[in-house]
Amino acid sequence: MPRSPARDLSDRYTGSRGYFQQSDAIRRGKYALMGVGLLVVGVWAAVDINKPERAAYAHTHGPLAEAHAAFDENCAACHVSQTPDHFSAGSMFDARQRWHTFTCERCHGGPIHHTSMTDEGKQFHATCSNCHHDHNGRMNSLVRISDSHCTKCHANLASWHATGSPYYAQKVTNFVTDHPEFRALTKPPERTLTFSHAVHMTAGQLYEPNQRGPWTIGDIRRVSGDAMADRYLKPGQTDASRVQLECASCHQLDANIGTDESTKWKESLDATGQPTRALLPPRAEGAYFLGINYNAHCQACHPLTAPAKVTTKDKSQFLVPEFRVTHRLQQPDLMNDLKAGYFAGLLVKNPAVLKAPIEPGGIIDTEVDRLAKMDVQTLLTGHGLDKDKDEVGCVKCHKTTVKESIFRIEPVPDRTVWFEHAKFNHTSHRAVDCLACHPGTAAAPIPKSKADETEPVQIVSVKWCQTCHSPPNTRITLPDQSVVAGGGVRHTCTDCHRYHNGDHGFQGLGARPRLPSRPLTLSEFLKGK
Amino acid sequence: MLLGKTKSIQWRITSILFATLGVTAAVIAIAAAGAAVGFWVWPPQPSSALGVSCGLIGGAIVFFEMAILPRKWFRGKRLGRTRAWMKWHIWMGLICLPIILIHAGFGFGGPLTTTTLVLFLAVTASGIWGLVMQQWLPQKMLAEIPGETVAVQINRLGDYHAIEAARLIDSLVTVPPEAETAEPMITGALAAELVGFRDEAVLPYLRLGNRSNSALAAQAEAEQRFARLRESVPPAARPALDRLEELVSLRRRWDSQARINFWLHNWLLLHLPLSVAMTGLMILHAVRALKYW
Repeated sequence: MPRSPARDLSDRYTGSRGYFQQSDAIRRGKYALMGVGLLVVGVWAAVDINKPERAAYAHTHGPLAEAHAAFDENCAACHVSQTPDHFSAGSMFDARQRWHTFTCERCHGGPIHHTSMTDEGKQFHATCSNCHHDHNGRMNSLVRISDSHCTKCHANLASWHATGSPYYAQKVTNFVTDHPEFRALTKPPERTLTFSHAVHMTAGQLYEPNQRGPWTIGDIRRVSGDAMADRYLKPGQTDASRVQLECASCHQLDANIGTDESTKWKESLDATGQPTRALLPPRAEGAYFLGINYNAHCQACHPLTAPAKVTTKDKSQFLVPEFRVTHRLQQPDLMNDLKAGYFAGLLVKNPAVLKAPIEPGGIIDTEVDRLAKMDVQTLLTGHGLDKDKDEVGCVKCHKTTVKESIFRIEPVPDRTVWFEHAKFNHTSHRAVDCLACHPGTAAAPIPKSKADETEPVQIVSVKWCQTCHSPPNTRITLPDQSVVAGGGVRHTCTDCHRYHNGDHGFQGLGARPRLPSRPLTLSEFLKGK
Repeated sequence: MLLGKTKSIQWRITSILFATLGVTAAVIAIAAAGAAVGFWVWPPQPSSALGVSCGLIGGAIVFFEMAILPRKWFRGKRLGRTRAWMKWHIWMGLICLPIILIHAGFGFGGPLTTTTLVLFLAVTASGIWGLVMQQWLPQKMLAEIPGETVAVQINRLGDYHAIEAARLIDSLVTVPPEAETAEPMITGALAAELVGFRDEAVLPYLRLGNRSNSALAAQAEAEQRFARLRESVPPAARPALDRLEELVSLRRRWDSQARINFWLHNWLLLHLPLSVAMTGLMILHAVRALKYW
């Protein structure tokens, strides 16, 4: 019987009926590679388990900035912690927001930029990470951010302002193109102190025409003593030499403690009983000059003195010697200071007056009161001062007002910084001559009438800043219409401005509004708790 | 198979590519439309509500896709029809692509997520490649390989046929014990030539196929040699030579079948291992995501 084709086919597999269970190269290969894949996953998981910090590191966008380096492996230091307390089914779907909820305020105070912004603006600024971007490497600055963060609002400030009419410039998109002029120049503050840099920087502090003789080192020695005179005595000078001031004679970035200059200064202050620690702070930041102070900078040449007087009692004349008057007093306190000075002089030089009753309203009290009232009028008005004897009163430098017969010395504005909303570092610019940025402060022959006027704000236009701080070769038109090429020095918003009051002219990094809600222990700080 | 047998191969392959692009574009467009009406933000963020939702859906799809592996291991349990499994495997795989892309925020992220996403894309690409091959090669094999056999049995069948070929030649040059004549059908130099042809060309080729480097691998060469032998042998021996040539021809077709079979399944060398690795890393990624929730 002939074999059927089917039989022929089936006979091929005789002895190998389980052929379908036999694997070929592809099958073996895919399972071998599957094993390799599982091995890779296993190794990856093992590394994750044994080196959790590596896994954590992989979940960041990069290393933290140096200031936050201690928290590299401690996400909860800055982000909402991952404890079960913070876990919910809803939070699963809001992980992004969860990671963008920070606890910055534990360590940082963040005063609001301007309370006048719209609610949308406030909401945007409530999230620190909208502007401060960490995980960008150790050297990354958290406060040096791109201009777009600022121009988001300042390119059209009205739309972000609650009333739509902001006090500040409506549109600022770039430091070079449309940054407004310094407000200190466009709306200068009222100045209440009469002072002339031109006269003070002139040798001998002479006026033009020469209305009096030059002021010499000997004059300082005469009115304020040896210590003060030695402080201004330059090498090679004698008492007959004219006093030659420099910028640094008054404007100092650092007290220079430990130098001969500082020692002389301290000795001059000690000689007049001044609190040198308050006037010469150690290790100043150097960004801004130390404050100008009458006791430290003016007193040597302009001592406040009540002149000697002669008074009569019981037909006897008594000499009351001159004495120093305390600075920084308004009329009532000045009156008391003068009375105390006269009373002390009267007693020390004339013990016999003690024979009279000293009760209030008594003859001594009446005489002292008379002398003091006379001097108060003289000091506060300047009338009756003997200028040939270098007698000066309050009005030498200060403006006064009168209200209900009481004189009031106008306070000196509390500003030594002209930028209300920008920071400036004088030390960074120390290579440049002071006059380059402070015109009108050089020695110059001027008449006394002009010297008695208040000075304008002695800073240059923002255009001069742009000559250096602008993209390279930018055409900068200066106020005198000359054109210069930009210097290429950095010119972003954050080079001068800070948020959170950081650019406040009178608040530094240590200002109270920038402090954390409560101080942390070192352990809490390191653990980010 | 999944796209209809009546259409041309080109139509089916084009459909697969269009389906891939279409599904991807459609899902992304739906997500973008949702963002446009304020349901979520755009571009998507992996950790946003949309991103996490897509991650969960995508993860579930991946687990479903991987379920085809145990289903294959336990095919005897009859856990659904193979056709249905494959259909869902393919379509869910295509849908998973845009979902995962949205979950990833169209980015890669860190080392783990980058690796996982690259593997996912490779798995998807290898799957599409495999699907294209599956549309094309089986039909090609059906048309070009008559006498197709089980690929894994080709070498074994070659040995089987080699035994038959040896027996055929033996029957021509030797006298079997039960034969009535004393003389073999072919003797002398021709018998020696036949034996040599058998030992040096036919048997190695039947056993090893192309790996034997036999001249019989070339159809024209084989036909020429068999034609010459056929003219030399007596007419009674020609049926044996015809059978011999048929076996050689069958082996040649099986070699072609093996080559096509390799291309039909080689995508699995990527698809399966990468799927397993990707799933493992995806689980790791999910654990990490839970840890850093």
